[in-house]
This record gives sequence, C-alpha cells and structure tokens, in this order.
Amino acid sequence: MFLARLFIFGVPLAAAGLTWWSVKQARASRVMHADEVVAMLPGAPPALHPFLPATELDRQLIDLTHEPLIRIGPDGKLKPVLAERWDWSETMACWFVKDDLAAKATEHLQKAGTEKWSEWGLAAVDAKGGEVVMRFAKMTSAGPDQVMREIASFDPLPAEIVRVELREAARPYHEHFLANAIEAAQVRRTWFDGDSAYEMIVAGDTAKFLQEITNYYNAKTNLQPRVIALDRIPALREPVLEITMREGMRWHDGTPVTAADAVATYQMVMAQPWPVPNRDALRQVQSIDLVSASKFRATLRRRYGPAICGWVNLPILPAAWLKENAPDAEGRVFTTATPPGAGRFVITHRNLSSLALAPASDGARARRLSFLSGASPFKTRLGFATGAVDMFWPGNQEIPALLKDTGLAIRSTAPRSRLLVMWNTRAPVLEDARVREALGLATDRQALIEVLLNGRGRVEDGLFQPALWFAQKFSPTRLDLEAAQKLITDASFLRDVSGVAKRPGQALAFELLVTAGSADRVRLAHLLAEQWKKIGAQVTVTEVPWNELVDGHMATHRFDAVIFGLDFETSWDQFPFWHSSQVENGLNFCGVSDRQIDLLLEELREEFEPERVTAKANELENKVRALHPMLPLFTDMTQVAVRLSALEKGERKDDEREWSLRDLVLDPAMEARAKPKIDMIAPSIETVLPVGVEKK
Amino acid sequence: MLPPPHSRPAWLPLRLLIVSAALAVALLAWQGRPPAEWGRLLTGLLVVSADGNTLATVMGERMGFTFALVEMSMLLAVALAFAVAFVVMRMGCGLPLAAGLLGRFLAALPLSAVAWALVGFTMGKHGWPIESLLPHHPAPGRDTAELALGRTLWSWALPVWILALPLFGELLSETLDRFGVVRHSPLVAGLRARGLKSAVIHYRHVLPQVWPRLIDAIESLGLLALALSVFVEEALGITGWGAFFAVAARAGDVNALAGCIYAAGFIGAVWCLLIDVARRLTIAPEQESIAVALPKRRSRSSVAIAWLSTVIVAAFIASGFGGIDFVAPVVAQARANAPFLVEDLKWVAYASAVAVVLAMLRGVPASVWRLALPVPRLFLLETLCWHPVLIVMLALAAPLAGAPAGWFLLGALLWCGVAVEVRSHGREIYASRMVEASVVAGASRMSAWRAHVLPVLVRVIVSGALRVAATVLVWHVLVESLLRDGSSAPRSLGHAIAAAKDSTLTEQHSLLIPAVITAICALCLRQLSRIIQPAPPHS
Repeated sequence: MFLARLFIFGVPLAAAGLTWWSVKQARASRVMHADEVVAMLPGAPPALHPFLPATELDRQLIDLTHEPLIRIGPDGKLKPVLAERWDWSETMACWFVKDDLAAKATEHLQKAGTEKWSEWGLAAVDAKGGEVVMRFAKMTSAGPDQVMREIASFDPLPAEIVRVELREAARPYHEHFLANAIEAAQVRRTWFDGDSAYEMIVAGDTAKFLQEITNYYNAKTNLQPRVIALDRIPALREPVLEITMREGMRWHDGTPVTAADAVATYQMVMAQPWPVPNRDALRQVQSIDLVSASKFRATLRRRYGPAICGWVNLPILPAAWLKENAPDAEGRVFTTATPPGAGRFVITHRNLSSLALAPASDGARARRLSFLSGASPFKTRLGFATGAVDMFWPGNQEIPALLKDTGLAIRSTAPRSRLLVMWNTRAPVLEDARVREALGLATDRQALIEVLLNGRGRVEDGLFQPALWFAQKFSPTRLDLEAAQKLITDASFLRDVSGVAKRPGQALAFELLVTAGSADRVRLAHLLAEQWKKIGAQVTVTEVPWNELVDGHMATHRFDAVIFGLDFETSWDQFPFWHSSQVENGLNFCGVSDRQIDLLLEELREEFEPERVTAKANELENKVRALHPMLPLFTDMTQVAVRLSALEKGERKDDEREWSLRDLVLDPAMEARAKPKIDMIAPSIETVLPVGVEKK
Repeated sequence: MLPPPHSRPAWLPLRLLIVSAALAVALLAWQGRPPAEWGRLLTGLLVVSADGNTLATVMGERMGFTFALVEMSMLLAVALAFAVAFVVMRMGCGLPLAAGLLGRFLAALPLSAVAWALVGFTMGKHGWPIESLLPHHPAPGRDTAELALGRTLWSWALPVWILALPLFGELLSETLDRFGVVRHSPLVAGLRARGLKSAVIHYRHVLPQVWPRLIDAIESLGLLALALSVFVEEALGITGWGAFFAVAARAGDVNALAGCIYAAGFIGAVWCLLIDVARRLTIAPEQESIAVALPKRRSRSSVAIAWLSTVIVAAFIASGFGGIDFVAPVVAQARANAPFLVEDLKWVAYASAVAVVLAMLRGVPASVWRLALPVPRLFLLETLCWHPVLIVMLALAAPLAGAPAGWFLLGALLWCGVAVEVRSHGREIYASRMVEASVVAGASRMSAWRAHVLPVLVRVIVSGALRVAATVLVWHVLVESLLRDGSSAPRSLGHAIAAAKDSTLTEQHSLLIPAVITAICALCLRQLSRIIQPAPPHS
C-alpha cells in the first residue's frame, strides 16, 4: 500500500517539482548578456563563400571575418585595410629592328639629364635585346609622348594589337602556333581573355605575322576562329599598380598577412568563373608579381584607372590555406572548411544549424555573435518574445506590425541592386527625351513601393552606387502629372477621345518588356502601364524569357522599354553602359550616343586619382540624367529587426540609413580610432634617378 | 474511444506489428508503388525523405524520442489520475461526478489547440523558453551542469505535461467509473461493515478489483498517446516520430506516411509488451475473474448533465445563425465558430452513420449465429479495435483531402469497436436464462430475440454511434488543425485552430474557443451515449 501511495502521489509531485526547478534553470540560462548577440536566420545556414556571398547576411558576415586590401569606409571613401598604400606608375615598351638601335635609344635617353627626366616623369630605362622598357613614376600622358618623340629618330617599330577568338580553349593552340610559326618572334606580349580568346602585341613585319596566323587558324575550321587586328600603337604603355601591405596585420591563426596572400587570392579568383564584383577591373591585370613580402605589383594591359576598384572589398585569404584547399567552381570548399580571415571577428563554431563568431581583437562591443538557422517566422517570434533572440530578418509585410513593438528597431542594409526601366532612346516613339522625362514624372514610385514592397523601399536616382564619395545625392523625382502632361504636349502629342496621346502618324504606344516567370515584375509592369495611361501612353506588357530578352531584344535594340535589374558596382567606370562604341556590341542597351558623354567616360576610365573622380563623375551623371535614358524605380533593401537594447543608446526605432552588422558589434569609438588619419592615399611619386646621376 | 472491455486479443504486440505493416503496404499499393518498394518498407530500406534517407535511418532516434515521451506521459497521467480519483472519492459530495465530467472534458479538448495555447502561454505570456523550439547554445564558459540539466529536463517536462493532459482526463473518467461500481458492490459494503479504513479499502481492495480493466485502458490509452504525440511534437518542434509524421501528412508524402504507420506498429508493440510485463507482475491469475455487477440505473445527475450540455450545444448552434447579440467579446467570438461546428457535425454524422451501419451488419447477425469455420479465429475485429486508428486517419487525410471517401473511410475504421460490443452483448443476452425461459415458455427464438436482445442491441448501437460521433468530432478537428496552414478562410473548427496558431504568442482565446466548443460538443455526445447505455457497460 505504501509503494502504491508513493507512486500515485509521488510521481505527480516529483514531476511538478522538477518542472518548476527546470523552468527556473532554463530561464536562468537565457539571461541575456549585454555583450552577446543572438540572431535567427530564416533559411539555410550561411554558405560563407567569401567571393560569392549568397545573401546580404553572408556578405556582412564575410565582411566581419575577412578583410580586403581596400574597403569602402563609413564616409564612402576608399579605406586601406590590409594594404598600407597603393602607387600607380607606368611602363612603356617599344621595339627596334636591331638590338644596337635599342641600345642607342637607351643611351640617348640616359644622357638626357635629370631635368628632362623629371619633366618626363621618367624613372628608369632599360634595353633588353631589341626592346626598350621605360618606367614612368607618374600616370601622365605627356611624359611618354615626349619620350617617344625623343627616340623617334631611332625608328621604333609600331606594334599591332591582334585578337584571336576561338570556340575552344585557346592556350594550347597559341602555344602550338608559337612553337611552329616563322614569325613567332614578333609576339611581344600575350594576354588571355578568358579561356577561348587572347590578345597579342606584335611588333615587326606585322603583315606577315597576320598572314601566318590567319592561315594557321583558317586551317582549323572547327574552331570557328576570328583573327582581328584591333589597333596599331607606337609603343606599348602598361600602367603598374604597386600595393604595399600594412605591417602587423595577422590572420586569425597568428601568421602574418603578406603580399603573397593577396597574389594567391587574385590568382585563385581569376582561375574561377565566379562573377565577383568588379571582375572586369581585375581582368585588366596583365601580370602580377611579388616585389617583396610586403609588396606586389600588378601590370595592367591598358590605362584603366578604376582597376583599383577590383581590389575593393575583395576578401584576401591566406596563400597557405588556398594551397591546401584548392576551391572548385562551385566553391564547395568554403562550406566544408572555413578559411582563416584577418577580420575583426573569428568563426568559433559552425555546423548545419548554428554559427558563432567571437572578436579576434579589441574594439568589439559584442563578445559573441550567434546565428541559429532554419527558423520559421513563428519560431523567430518566439525567440524574440522570450528574449532568446536579438535580431532576425523579417519580410516586408511583417515590418508595420513589428514597428509597433516597443523593444524592437528596424534597420536596413545598403542597396546592392536596383530595378529600373530602360528606354530605347532610338525607338521612334521614345527618341524624344521629353517623352521619356514625362513618363518619369508620371511614375508614382512611392505608390509602387507601397503596393509591391509594403512601403519598404528606397529610390536612388543616381548612376552610381549611393554613398560612394563620388556619387551625388539626388532628391527623388516626385510624381507630377501636370508637368508630365505639359512635356507630352510639348512633344506634339495630344490625347484623342479614347485618351491615347497621338501626334500625326504616331501614337504614344509602346511595348514594355519584362522577364517571363517573375510574377512581381509582371505586376510592376502592369502597374506602370496603369500609371502611364494617365498621360495618354498606351503600353503593352510583354513577358519574354531572360535569354531572349537580353540577346534577342536588348542587345539588338529591338525593344521600346524594358524592366531590368542592375547591380551597383564600386567603380566610377560607366563606359560599358553609356559609351557610343558600346551600342552595337556592348551594354549600352539604351542606345545613348553623345560625344560629350563619350569624352567624359573616356576621361573617367583614365582617371587614376580617386579624389579627382568626383568632378568628372558628377558631370557625367548630370549629362546622362539629362537624357533620361532610364527610369530608376527602387533599390533592394534587406531589413533587419534588432532588439532596441542591443543597439547604441538613443538610437531611433525606424532608421532607414544604411546599417550593417559592423554597426551592431563593433565599438564606434574604437572604429573611429582605428581609422587612418588619411583615408585615401594619393599615388606617390617614387623618385628614381637616371643611371649615373647621384642623389643629392 | 477505448476498445470494449475484454476485447484484447492474445499476442497483441505481434498483431499490431502485422496490422501496421499490412496497412503501410496497402497504402503503398493504393498509391501505385511497385512491390519492390513494399519489400524495402518492411526491411526499413524505403527512402522516406527528400535527402535520400531510409526509414531505418530516419526513425532510429525519432522512435526512441517518441516512445520516451509516450511512456513518461502515461506514467504521469496514470499517477495523476489515480491521485485525483482517490482524493475526490474520499471527499465525496458529488466531487467524483464533477471530476469524471472534467476528465471527459479534458480528454475531448483537441490537443493541438492545447499545445499551441500552452506554447503561447509559456513563451508569449511568461517568456519561458521552450528548448525544443528554440535550443539554447550558451557561450563557452557561461554554462553550468545545473543549467544544462535544467534545460534538458524542461525540454521534456512541457511536452510530457501537455500529452499527459487528455490521457489523464480519459483515465480519470475511467477510474472513477470503475471505482464507483466497485464501491457500491457488496464486497466493499462488507469491508466497511468490518470497520476497515477507507484508505485500506481503496488501496487494498478496490484498486486490485478494478486494476485488470484499468490496465487494459492504460494499454489502449498508450496507443492513443502515440497518435496524439504527433500534435505535441509538431507544436513543440520535437524531432520525434510524430513531428516527422506531421510533416509527411502535410506534404502527402506516401513513402514517409507508410513508413510512419509501420514505425508506429513497432512503438505500439513495444508499449504493449511493457504493459504485458506490468500485467503479469501486478495481476494474479485468479484476480481477473472477479466480476462486478452491471449498473442497474443511470444517475440522475448524469442524465441532467447530458440534457443540459445538449441544450447548451443546441443553443450555441442556434445563436450562431440567429440575431442574438452578445456583450462579452469572447462569447461573440465563440458564436462566430457555430457555422464551423455545424460543418464539422455534418462530417461527423456521415462517418458515424457509416460506422453504425457497418457495425450492425457485422455485429447483429453474429449475435445470433456463430459461424463455425474450419480455420482458427483470427480476432481481426478485436485487433482493429486496439489499433490506433487516429494514425491511419492522419495518414489518409492528405490523399483523401476533401473527398467524400474520407468520412466513409473514417466510419469504416471506427465501426469495429461498436461491432464487437454489439456482438458480445447480443451473444451474452441471447445465451442468458431469460431467453431460454421464453423459448421454454413457447416463444420462438426470433420473438425471444426481439423481446430480449433487440432492445439492448438498439441501446448499444445508439450509444456506440454517439461515442463514435464524439471521437470523430475530436479527431476530425485535430487532423484539420494539423493539415491546414491557416492561410485560407476557416471552414471548420480545425481550420479555426490552425488559423489562430500564428497569433498564439499574443492571445490564446482564438485557439481555445474552437477547442472548448469541440470539447463541449464531444462531451455532450458522450454524455448522451452514457445515459443511453450506462458506463461502464460491464466489466
């Protein structure tokens, strides 16, 4: 009877007691520490591919754990991180028929004297057989031109740039050609543009060479070869970017960060097909060489100032790790192994459901940053309700309700891409800029944001990525139907009884193309058509598959208007999008052709001094915007819900300024101290005296 | 709905295993899976998840979790039910009746709503963490053994309490019914007359008397607990068999569903084996034969409660369609659920009608004629009575969603219990002395059957139909609440529960109102069943 009683009353009492005690312990476990931040992720755990971040969170985590040579600082300017400085110089090579002519030209230059050298910016001159290589400390066009005039009497050979495009990998064929060609000695430089194309600098009897190479490839019809003589140049000018690494920087495993790591990272990235931001800038590198443990030199194949942007925000990985963990095209190695970084935080724990980061150095507000993945919206809200979670990524539709929560703040990250309407400025109905401007004025972008993004979107009207030092801040163009109607009338369009604007022989009717299968974009297209109808535009929305849209319509300019998404790039080079040479075979889909814009684009491409970019970029931006070749709609905006107590004191609940995890976990005071006094280091002139001249 | 008394067939664990395997294979065959898949299912090599995992791999750990959950919940429910039963019986004053009614009410509450409401109550209102939903990974150096043990215990405590709730209710009702019968028996009257203390009478005499029937009830409740664990695991995010089953049922993944049915057979078999061991350890062979007299009359209060609850339900349904304005918002909110209840009751009526027709077709002839077959009896009906039908219903709900075959199938699954009861009652009375006396007095066998057996059978059938209806109502709401995502406009009480799940952190009324309506309605049906055929019918 005693045992029965013990069981009957003991079990419930023991269960109740244990429950009470365990809930107390569980609650005590969750007492939040002020220096610990827990975030809940909606989907799979971050893949943490340093070069192809899948999400904005991936990007920010990589930003915390890895450092690039140069990053964009909080003020929007270039900020050296692993790099201490960078310097631009230029080499010029020219070739002579005979070796003694090259030697004579070299001797002639060496005898020119210090004053001349200083005037030309010449730092060194050297002859190797029939080739003379000159190094200029300045990136000016005048010096090399003057030097060329000085040695013109020695009859340097003009050089030809020859491009070969094949259907297969080009390297084996090129090597085979060089091994067997009679004129092979004429090839002075070779640069591979991807796997199946390459360019050569040829100096000598170029006609013979062209004949030989054409014959060689014509015999291989299955390769469908294209041999093109691109340009004829008096000498080969190659800009050189020399980057000096910052001393004292270390990987998380304690080993020092060296220039070899940067070179290995560059080589690994270029060996993979990853579309890293500014890959085109990196592709301009002809060769990359280690100068010392703390310095490397990248020689560019042409004058291209924005090449420095290729290194901006490009995470650098240790060469030793890359050697042991060679990545494949899918970058699977980054999901199985975590490369050591040089960032402010180090990954201390990583599995399929959670990820934890801890500070690698001083200056962090958070002692630990944890991410729990695979959470449903309900689970996330539970976590927040119980104080177990400080941060999560809500959908747009959830934001209005969340803003009512007193303990929570909404923050948004920097825009990475935007949606815009590209006008075909050569389409008969849209060739008048007034019509394009009118359509812009008749667009109620705020209404679109309300309908499609639950009111959570940004409008950026500039050409460049917002917040960069050279990007202008424009106040968004507001809906103005009256002004739009006036512009339409000025363009001789009058509305008929059916409400369609018409002028003799032409109605304001056009086709708006949109990517097939994207329900949101189709809806956007129909909303735009509705809005434009108010000024008499008759718009037909047509869905087109992506490949057909780009290749069949945009590249061939067979369209009136198209809704298109474009990523922002950290570069001042807008040449591919607006230069008239890019209309036929480039990305100038809008068909803009303006001589002044062309000149500005060319000047910007040759601008090596970041501080001098602003004026030209602003001028370009104003000129392009005046043509209204596109209508920016809205940018992407990843939003984060953060517990108010995890933020700095006094921060507002809803702040649309750009925000990142760095703002949350790093100590702002320490960050300010960590900033170098000079954010942007101007290229310095290395004083190299001519041979035989002693330094005073 | 517990299986009829004395219906437990021999070799029940093996029978459950075979029936589960047969049902799983039948599901695969029905969905057009090739026979090779059947073999793979039976050997545990059937691929049941999108990532290519086999049944054996997926279920290895999950079955252990679920079995532990079921076992702990049953242990708690049994102890708690006995404790409450003993306390209220000693206190008397109508408390046993109220406690029994409360028990049946708790048993009829849809567990999904209870689980979600408790999640909202613990996390939303009190901010207590639920480890299974939100595992805590403390920073290195910030954890102690005490905290870790506390978290582990809490991760089990909440699901165990939630799952124990309906089991406790059912068992409390059953225990009080059994105790009530024995307490009024001449045996207890004699013991009292001898001056024994009531504690001694309860523990030494009453409990051993009712234990054989109660252990059967515990065994069958354990199997029901297995089915109910689906809803608890789904709500609390426990990675057990039930959560996997819930996902499979929502997705309509036939391989996974078949695997879950098969795995349930194993868990059920292990449970029954454990109970078998307990039965052998606690019941002496001669103890089982002690008979207790049938209740002769219905208590007035039972009848009053039954009619009162019927009036309440009828008034509630009428109010949902009438123009009565309620001041209290909760009542107004409840009234909005009336059309859903009517929709559910239609479904329940169809399924119950099918069950009753099948039970009559199978049970009534068998009550008169015993077919002498040359093969040994398989006790198939009895085996099916003991099988956790809710699991099959869940598995078939997705493939049969919205089809009329759904209610037909459910009725077909639940008729066995009524058929067994009809048959056993019929045979018992048909073989009784009063029928013999009628025949001797000159009445034909048929007229004797009409005069003595038929009235009892009608009562048993009507009572069985009402019990089936009560069970179907609760199960239907449970299944609907699991399978619907709550995004569409609710059409039934289950939909209303699913729709209210998302807001449970801020308010639990919307979840509990449809649950309470379901429970009241089921209780009403059950009480009506009890006044038509007083419970327990026999022991």
